[in-house]
Amino acid sequence: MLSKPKRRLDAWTVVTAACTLFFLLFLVYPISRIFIQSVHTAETGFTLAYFRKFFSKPYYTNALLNSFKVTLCVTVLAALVGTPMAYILRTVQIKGKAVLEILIIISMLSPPFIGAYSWVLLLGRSGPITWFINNVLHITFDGIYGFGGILLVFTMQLYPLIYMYISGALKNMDDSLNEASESLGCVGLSRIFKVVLPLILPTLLSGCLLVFMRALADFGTPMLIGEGYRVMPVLIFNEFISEMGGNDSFAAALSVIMVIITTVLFLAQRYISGKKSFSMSATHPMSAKKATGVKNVAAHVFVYLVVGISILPQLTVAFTSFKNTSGRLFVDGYSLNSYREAFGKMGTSIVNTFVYSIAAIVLVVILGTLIAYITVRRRSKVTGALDTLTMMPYIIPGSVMGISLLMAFNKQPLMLMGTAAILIVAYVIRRLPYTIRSSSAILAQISPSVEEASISLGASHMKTFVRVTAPMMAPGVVSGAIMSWMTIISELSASVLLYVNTTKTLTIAVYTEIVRGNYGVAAALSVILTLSTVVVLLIFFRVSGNREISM
Amino acid sequence: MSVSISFQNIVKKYGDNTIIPNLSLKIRDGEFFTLLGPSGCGKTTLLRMIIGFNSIEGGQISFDDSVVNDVPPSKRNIGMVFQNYAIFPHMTVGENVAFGLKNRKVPKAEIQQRVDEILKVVRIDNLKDRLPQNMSGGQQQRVALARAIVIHPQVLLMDEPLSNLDAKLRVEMRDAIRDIQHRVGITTVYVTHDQEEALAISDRIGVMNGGVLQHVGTPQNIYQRPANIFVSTFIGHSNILDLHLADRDGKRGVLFDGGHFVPMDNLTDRASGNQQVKVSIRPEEFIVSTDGEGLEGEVVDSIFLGLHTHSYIRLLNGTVVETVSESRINTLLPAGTKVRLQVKAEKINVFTADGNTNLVQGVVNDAV
Repeated sequence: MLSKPKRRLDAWTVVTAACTLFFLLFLVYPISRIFIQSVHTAETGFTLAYFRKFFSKPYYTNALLNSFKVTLCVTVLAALVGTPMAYILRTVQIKGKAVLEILIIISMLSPPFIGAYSWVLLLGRSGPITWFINNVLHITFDGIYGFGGILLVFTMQLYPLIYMYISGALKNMDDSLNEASESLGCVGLSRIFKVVLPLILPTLLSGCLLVFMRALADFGTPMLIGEGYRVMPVLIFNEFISEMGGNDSFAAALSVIMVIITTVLFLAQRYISGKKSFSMSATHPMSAKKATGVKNVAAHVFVYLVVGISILPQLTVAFTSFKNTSGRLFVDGYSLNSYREAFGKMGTSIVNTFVYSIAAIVLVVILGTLIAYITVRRRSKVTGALDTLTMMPYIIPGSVMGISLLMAFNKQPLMLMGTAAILIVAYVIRRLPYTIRSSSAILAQISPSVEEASISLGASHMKTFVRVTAPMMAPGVVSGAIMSWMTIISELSASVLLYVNTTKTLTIAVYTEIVRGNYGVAAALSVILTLSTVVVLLIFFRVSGNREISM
Repeated sequence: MSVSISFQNIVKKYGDNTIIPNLSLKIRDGEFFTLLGPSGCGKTTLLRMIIGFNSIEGGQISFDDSVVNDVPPSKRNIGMVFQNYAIFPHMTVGENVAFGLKNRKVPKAEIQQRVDEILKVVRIDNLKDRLPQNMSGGQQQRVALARAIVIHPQVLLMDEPLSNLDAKLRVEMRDAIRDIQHRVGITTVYVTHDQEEALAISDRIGVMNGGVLQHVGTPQNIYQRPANIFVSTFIGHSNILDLHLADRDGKRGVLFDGGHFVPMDNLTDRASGNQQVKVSIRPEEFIVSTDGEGLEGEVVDSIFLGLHTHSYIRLLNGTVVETVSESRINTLLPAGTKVRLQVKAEKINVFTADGNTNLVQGVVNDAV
């Protein structure tokens, strides 16, 4: 018998090659373009002029400092709100918990800039609360703009991330740990600080990192509520988009600075978490107990207050969507005019939203499961490199992603500018890391012997994956995909750079209508957006039969 | 239908780490063959080489006369039962069992018929439409077994299939597996670290250690005439004593400390002069009495286990040996009792001082 070559070229080799190619083309190539552009021009060759320009003018460096200031404060505040929320909802019986949890998810899922815009409606110069403060309380208050406004919007928008992370970690914490600590005389707050917090610290840190990244990269919020308060994403956007004096190379340099910062943070978080991580699994998870007296009242007040404030923007938007408008102004009376106008004007954007997001999510799920499979089951140098590569989008802010895609695909033969494809690519690249992580975790729980059993029964590798592995992974992957889908439809930072009129999505439509001052239509559109998410969420809860969504 | 399996100078390496240096073995057609050894001895590695999940770094594996080294696992027509059963959780019992038949493009009607038939054989035909989620370990094990044999494989492989079951169910499933294997008559290779299971179930056993087959033989032979000291201590329990051979009254035998001589008439020619030896005596090969002839000793402790009583006895030179005898009514030998030990000379084993060779006649070792 002739001996065949040892490594046969099978279907998985092709999959590995295809996935690597995808990432090289749509991630590595655009990002390297941006790096090169930041230090190289056709006229002068290599140059550090753009970085020098940035660090020499307080106008620019202040934006960096501002970004840091606001992002750090947001992270701390979100942790301070989200952690007790999670702990209380896990350990104390709160009335209406199921509804509260859905409200928390809804407030997290709406695009941050809609929050910003509603807070402007409430607490802006002509907002009713501002009027109340000025005219009834006689305190001079100029409306919530700048630092304070950004802080408020981000905190209420991002604490749910911390909440979900911590809630998951607490679920995996065995109650016997609490009982052991109690039996050793450590109770109450001292137990929380000495036992609970150290155990959830790694989770808290990764939640904080995510909050930090989101706050640092978000573009819509500071644009709408920041007024004079300049932060990095706004600076990048303006440099890149402004028709006069816009400078691609300078925007590229700004992007590189952002990416360097996020990379350092990411590595730092990994280093700390790696040193302090525990693996926990609970056979007796903590159960919510009925609290009494002051404790019970305090817990309810805190939870209801936080959820109330975070859902307030949604209510405001819903309310204003029914108001009559005249041009840019709200007038007395209520009607469905805004909706009529919204559907009339924005029909295509609604269709676009669903078509693009579904296309993107299908790709995300397919690529995510395949990549998870090859990195977990077919370890090699190539798949290891691919694994690292797929983590990169974590640390690349949306606006940077948008710019890099535009720079890379603006001429033939890779002309994608202005197409739906470039939006879908941006969505896919940005969401893939999450799906890959969750799919890998799910796959790690599935014993390889199940696949071996299938092969021993005569199924090929591919058939085994399709018939056995993929169906076993499906429930977990789908719940992650729902989350991704909802994030995709509210994506703004990258798509605001990539869209053209024919590829406008709901989120972009809301944004552009707000910028144009058509608040009525904007409100109607964002209600449509929120309702779509809620409907999908409820369908998902019904179909999957559980109320857990994974990140 | 079923085949014999030949291993010729098999080598297994992980990088520079050699797991199996050079192994040759022939498993007969229709035989129930067990690979037995401590964890890490290479038995599962060898099993997975048969099906092709592990690569072969040297040598050949053949089914009958055809070499299978380069045949992919899905084409080897082997049924395998895994330690964790590896039941597909998203398929019903019937679908699990039909899976291999569908891959073989068996006609639908025949699939139905064969699935029903095999489910009856393993006695879970009532579970056909159930999902495996809430089934007991024993039931899942039966599904796994049915799924593996319904495809009429040439060889059946079982990797510690009973280790996740509780003790009582283990015995029940052990007998069921043995019974089904007999009825189907398929060449079976079974891996376990449980020696009692191996003794009960196998036609022949291969005892492995450090990637080397130490002894291949029938359960009886392996227990009664182990090829070396490793086998004698790994299978069952053995007291190992460092003693000398001697000649008394024209008879060759073993000389114990204190001058007690046990004549033996079944020593091989290699047992000569007064060479140093290791003598392996199982607890049941001692006869304990409070009077009469024999080795002098003193009871250290006695443990009552129902059917048997184990006694630990300190010999004159300080060595403590374990003995076992049928329990007597209301009497346990208290610590400190002076006793005499007789040895059942025809049963004990005598090894060379290095422990590698048995000096007693009757060893049948198909390894080598």
